[in-house]
Formats: sequence, C-alpha cells, structure tokens
Amino acid sequence: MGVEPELMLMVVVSWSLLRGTGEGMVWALIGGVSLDLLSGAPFGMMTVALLVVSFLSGLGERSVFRTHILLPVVMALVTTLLYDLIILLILALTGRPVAWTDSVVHVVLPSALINTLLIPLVFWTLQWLHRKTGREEIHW
Amino acid sequence: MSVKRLPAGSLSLLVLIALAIVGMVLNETGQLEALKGLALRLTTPLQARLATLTSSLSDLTQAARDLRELRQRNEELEAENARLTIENVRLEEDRAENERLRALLNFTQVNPDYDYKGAEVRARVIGRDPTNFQSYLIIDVGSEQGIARRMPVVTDRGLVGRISEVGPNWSKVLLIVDPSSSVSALIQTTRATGTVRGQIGGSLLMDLIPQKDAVHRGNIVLTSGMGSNFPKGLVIGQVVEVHQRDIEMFQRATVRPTVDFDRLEVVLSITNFQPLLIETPEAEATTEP
Repeated sequence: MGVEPELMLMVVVSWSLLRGTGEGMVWALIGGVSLDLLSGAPFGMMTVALLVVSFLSGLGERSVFRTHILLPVVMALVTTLLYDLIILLILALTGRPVAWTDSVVHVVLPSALINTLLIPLVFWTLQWLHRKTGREEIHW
Repeated sequence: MSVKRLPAGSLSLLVLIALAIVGMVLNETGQLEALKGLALRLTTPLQARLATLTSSLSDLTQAARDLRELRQRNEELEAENARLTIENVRLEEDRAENERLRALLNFTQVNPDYDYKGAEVRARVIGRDPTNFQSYLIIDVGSEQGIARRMPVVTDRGLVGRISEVGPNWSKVLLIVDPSSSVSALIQTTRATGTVRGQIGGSLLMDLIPQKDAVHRGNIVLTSGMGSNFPKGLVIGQVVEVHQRDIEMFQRATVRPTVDFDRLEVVLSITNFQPLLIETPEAEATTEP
C-alpha cells in the first residue's frame, strides 16, 4: 500500500500548461469526477483539488517558458503539495481521521518527488499530442 | 540406260550407315579397343569435372529445397510455440485461481457458521482508491447479490475490511489498513484486548491495550467481536513491535496484517453477519440493501 504516482494530476498540470486554464479545467472536471466515482472519499474532493491545480497551472501557459521542461517539473512539485494538502484538508473537514505529520512525511513528500520525476514523460507525450491537434498561439 | 536421280542427302545417309556397320564389325572383332581407350583417357578428366559440377548443382538445389522446408517447419514450430505459451499462461492462471478458491473453500469449511458470498476484485486498475491517503477496494458484487453495507470482507488469510458503499453490482470495501478503520481486537494467547486502527502506509496499530496485559512480538491478533462490527476470531495480523511506556495509560503494538492488500484478487463477504448499527438515522437508512 505504498505511494503511487498521481497520473491524473500530471495530465491536468501538463495540459493546463500547454493549452491554458480553460481546457485544463475541463479535463480537471472530467478527471476529477471520474476519480471521485472510484474513490471512497467524499464526492467532489478530487474534482475540487484538480480544479485548483488546473487554475494554478494554467497561469504558466502565458509564460514564455511554458514549453521548457523545467516549468512542468517545478509546477508538478508545487501542485502536488497543494493537491495533497487540499485532499487532507477536505478529509479532515469531513470528519475523517488525518494524521498530518505522518501523511506529509509518508505520502505528500514522496508523491511530490515521484510526480516531479515522472512529469517530463507525461508532458512530452501531451506536448506531442498538443502539436498534432492544437493551435500554436503567440501571446504578446 | 538411264540413271535414276536419288533425293538430296540420301548419299550422306548411306555413307553414315555404312560407316556404322563398319564400326560395329570392327568393335565385334576387337579392332576398336585401342581407339576407345584413347578416347576414354582423353575424356575422363572432363567427365569427372562435369560430374562434380553436376553434383554441386544438385546439392545446391537440394539445399534450397531444404531451406524452404526448414523455414516452413520453423514457422510451424514458432506458431506451435506461441500457442503452447498462451495455453501455458492460461493453465497457470487457472492453477493459481484454483489454489485461491481452494484456500477460500478451506476457510469456509473451517468457519461454517457464516454464509459467504464470493466476490472478485473487479480490476486492479479501478479496484483501488485513487488517492494515496485512503485504502478502498472495489469488488464486483453488490446489492443484487445480497451485499449490504458494513458486511465483513475476508480472505483465507484473514480480515480484509468491511463494505462501505453498495451499488447494484459493485461495492466499495473499506480496508482495515485505512486510517478511518477501527476494529475491536484481542491477542490470541493472552486475550489482551484493544482496538486495531489503520495507519498511513498500510500498517496497523493496536491501541488501548491495558498496561497489565502481556503483549509480545509475534503474538497473533484476532477480532474480538466486541462492538459487533466483525465476527469474533478472524485473523487480523501479527504483532511486530510493542510500544510500552509506564507513564501512559495503555500499551500500543504495531501489527503486520496477514492479508497482502497489494495482491488481493478474490475476497469473501460474510453475508449473514448482522453488525450492530450505532450510527445516525441517515446512515442506517443507507445500510439497507
């Protein structure tokens, strides 16, 4: 029962960076609802967390460094911390026992590390898809 | 007297026939031996070379034929190998499933007091909770198969958890290693009681063990049946570490679950066990199948 990479989070972060907040939030909604259906946690928890993450990542779309691999790497680190903390907060608010220190040490930090290491693979894959399917806009 | 004119070539034919008859006569009388010997002596090396060349050509065509046959045979063997590999995998899966079912059957025979409903974890991909903070499984039986909330879920190796949510043909199982799970337990040998709670990371902690009771590393932890949430006597795990401090009211023990939650494929839900419901009316209403 170890920590596993959060694929949906990486997809939403990458797509938001490539296509902006609008499209990112659509996928955050679809992905979040799908995860909520599978989860035993309060319904809507994953959707809320992914929407916040998507909004934050979408801000990076306007950056001139948005295609630089360092941006998704840094964004994965920041958003994983935020995402997991939102989940813990919602679990605590809905009356579930949350061991904050254990959760941060044994889950949040390891999953941030794993996501940070793996996001280049997800980002490059989605970047290829983005170039195949999307438009390339220049923001002035 | 007039000479009749012969057709063209007739003379050459007559000459050749005459020569052949002369040759035959000479051969019969042994006059041609010397000439034949000379001819053979001159042609033997050439014949030998021709024979070698012919043999080589024959070998080459045979080799080409053999290669074609070998390729065909190789393709057949590869196809056979692939078929046998697939069959072997299928048989291996059948054998493993047979072992699991046999183990579950043994468990049900040893514990005949309960009605069991076999349930198979739907798939590993969707069978686990997507967050890293919770431990749920999704199984492929639900209210249509008689499953209801709070029913205990077990395997032959021990307690898995309890049904937390029920759909028509699926259910979510809250595992005992989830931090929100709590099970009344006792130590098999000393009968010391306590409460087993799930921990982040998939381990268990047995808490609220009275200081006067003895707890040792290696002790087996069972469900106590207190609180009527689980049947009595189901194996939970084994004590791996005891945390005892004189200044605290209770002892605690780290427990390693006997069930390998990462490799769960088939579980059993005990359908005739009636858990005691001490929940809100809203929760009780949703308990009905």
